Amino acid sequence: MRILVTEDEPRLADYLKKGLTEAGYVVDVANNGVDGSHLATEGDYDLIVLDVMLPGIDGFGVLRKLRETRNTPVLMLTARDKVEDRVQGLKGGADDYLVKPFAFSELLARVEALLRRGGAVTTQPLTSMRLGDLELDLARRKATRGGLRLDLTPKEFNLLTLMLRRQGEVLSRTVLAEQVWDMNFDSETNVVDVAVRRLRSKLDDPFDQPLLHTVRGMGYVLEER
Amino acid sequence: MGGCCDSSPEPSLSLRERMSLSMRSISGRLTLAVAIVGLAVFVVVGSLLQWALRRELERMRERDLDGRADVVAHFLDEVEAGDDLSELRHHLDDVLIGDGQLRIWLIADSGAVVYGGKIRPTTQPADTTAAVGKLTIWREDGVALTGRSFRVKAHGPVPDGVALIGVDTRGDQRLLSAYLGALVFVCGLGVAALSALGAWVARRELRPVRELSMEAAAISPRALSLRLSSQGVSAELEDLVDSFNRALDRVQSAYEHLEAFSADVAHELRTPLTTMISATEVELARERTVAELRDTLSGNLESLHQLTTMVNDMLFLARADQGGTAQTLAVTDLRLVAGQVVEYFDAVLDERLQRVDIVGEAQAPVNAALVRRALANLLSNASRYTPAGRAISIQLSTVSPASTDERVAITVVNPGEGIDPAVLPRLFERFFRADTSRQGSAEHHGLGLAIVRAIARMHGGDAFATSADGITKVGFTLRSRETSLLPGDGGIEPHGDP
Repeated sequence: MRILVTEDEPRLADYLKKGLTEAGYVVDVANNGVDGSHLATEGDYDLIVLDVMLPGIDGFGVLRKLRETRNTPVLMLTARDKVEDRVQGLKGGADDYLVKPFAFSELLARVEALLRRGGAVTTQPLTSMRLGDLELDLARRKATRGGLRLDLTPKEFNLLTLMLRRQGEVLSRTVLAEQVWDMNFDSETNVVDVAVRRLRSKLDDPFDQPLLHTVRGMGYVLEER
Repeated sequence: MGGCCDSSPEPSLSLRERMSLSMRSISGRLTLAVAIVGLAVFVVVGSLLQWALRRELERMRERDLDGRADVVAHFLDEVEAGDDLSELRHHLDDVLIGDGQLRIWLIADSGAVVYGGKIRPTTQPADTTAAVGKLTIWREDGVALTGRSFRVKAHGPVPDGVALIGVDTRGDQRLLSAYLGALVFVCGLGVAALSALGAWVARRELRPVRELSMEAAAISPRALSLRLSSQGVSAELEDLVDSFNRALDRVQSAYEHLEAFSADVAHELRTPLTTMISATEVELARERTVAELRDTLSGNLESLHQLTTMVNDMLFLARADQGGTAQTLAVTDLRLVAGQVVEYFDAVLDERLQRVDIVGEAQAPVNAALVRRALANLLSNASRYTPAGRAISIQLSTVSPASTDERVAITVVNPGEGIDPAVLPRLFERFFRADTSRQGSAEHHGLGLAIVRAIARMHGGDAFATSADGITKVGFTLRSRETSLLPGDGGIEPHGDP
């Protein structure tokens, strides 16, 4: 999968390239609107990460030019999150919109989502999931580990489902709050930490091998280590 | 080269420019107005005086003429049969003595001039047959005289005829024109004096305005506490000075607020920045294991997330301050919203052995995500200050104060130590923390309640707080009915992408 990153701040561009490369993508970087526009229209990319504020041609201009010939998915980056900007970007044909400052994990999630959308992979609705000796019966909302039934509250079950569905992926507190509780704002509170701690006390404490891990500064991940 | 043109700009203003300049000045206009009014008054008064004098002179002349005519008639009456005409002539000559302006003619119907000259003078009207008449008589030298005529009946040596009496009135005319000249001179002097007085008064009265302008010029961000002095200012200006000073009060308060806010922001940024800089420097000073480096990077990441949250919250507040209103409103059951928030806090509440009761019902057109956020902030605070084992309640109610529209109130009530009433008014200010010990300040940057108020205002309501007898109530109101909102501009979506 090839990704073009059009970003004029060199350090951010470098880190995006590094992060995306390590995530398994082939990444090219353009440092201004003119190069970005040229590469985007001439090159063959599966996705374009496009900053709005660019020297030369701004992001909207690049997008407009690109859309004349191509339908490559575009993820816009901006420091301004005024509603009008977002509307302008989406109307101009951007597929998604990310406001700075953002976490790299969030960018990666959006990139994956956009590429999935493009690939139109239809996944069968899962009825059960497993990780090691952990097993989740989604239809009956039952969680068992090593044959033992876990006594989870509905929200804990949802939390576990989300983390199992995206196993191996570090999920930030913001993502968890948004996905599980529909609280879409950066919370000052440690609510998510407490909830995860309680889930962990039921999921890991009685067993030898922990599955739910804390990644300091980033969030939580469910995986076998 | 290049010296062909007069490069110096026109130094003096043209008359027209100067006129328009003085027309723009209040004192110029006042002076002009005084001059115009003075001129009009003097012209009217002068004309009236001139007219009155002329009338009085004419009346005197008429009376004089009538008197002379009576004398002449008397002498004519006294002429008896057999008398000599020379006697009459003598008498008439006596009348004329000492009055060079007066002339008398006695003219027989036959045309013969009995007295007064050699020929009959021209008269206007020429017909002099009326018993008594006023007329104009032209003397031999062509000078017009104001005259009287009356019929004379033949008796004795006097034939039937007419007596003409004329007076030269050129002296009166001279007097009148001299008077007019004096009048014009005095009027001119008066108008000039009045204009000068007007200009002086106008300048004197406007001096406070110039002084106020100088005072106002001295006010700057560095001397923002300066005010215009209303001492000795006239009543009309006092209102202006008061209004201006009140406006300055508001500007000063906003300015100081802003300065304090900037300082607060800088302070808030300082701690995490220091932490990150120190941590990074220390780690880089020696060879470190990967685990150590990971640990530092993770710590930096945590600090950066805090900064991000703070910046996002500040941007949110800034946009709300600019009058942003909530968008995508939908009539929502607030009990449901409260339930979601309580569910979010379930784990925390459980751990602290606290319980939350939701009391009452309410519906309102709201952006549910924003209301969830506000309520989450309130509940987070309440839970932090509630002793273990006690119950918090979320009260939903409809309030209809007389002054405003109906509002919906969401109040979070919690037992605990309570908040000092002195700090209650400042509770919703940015970065304000009631607990100066700043316990857990790393986690709580002090914008939570400011955001609650911002969200309330975006829904046409406000935030409120009371604390008494160990019960603290903090809440906010929302407009209970949808009003037409301007679409688009300034709209605020909840943070995070839709």
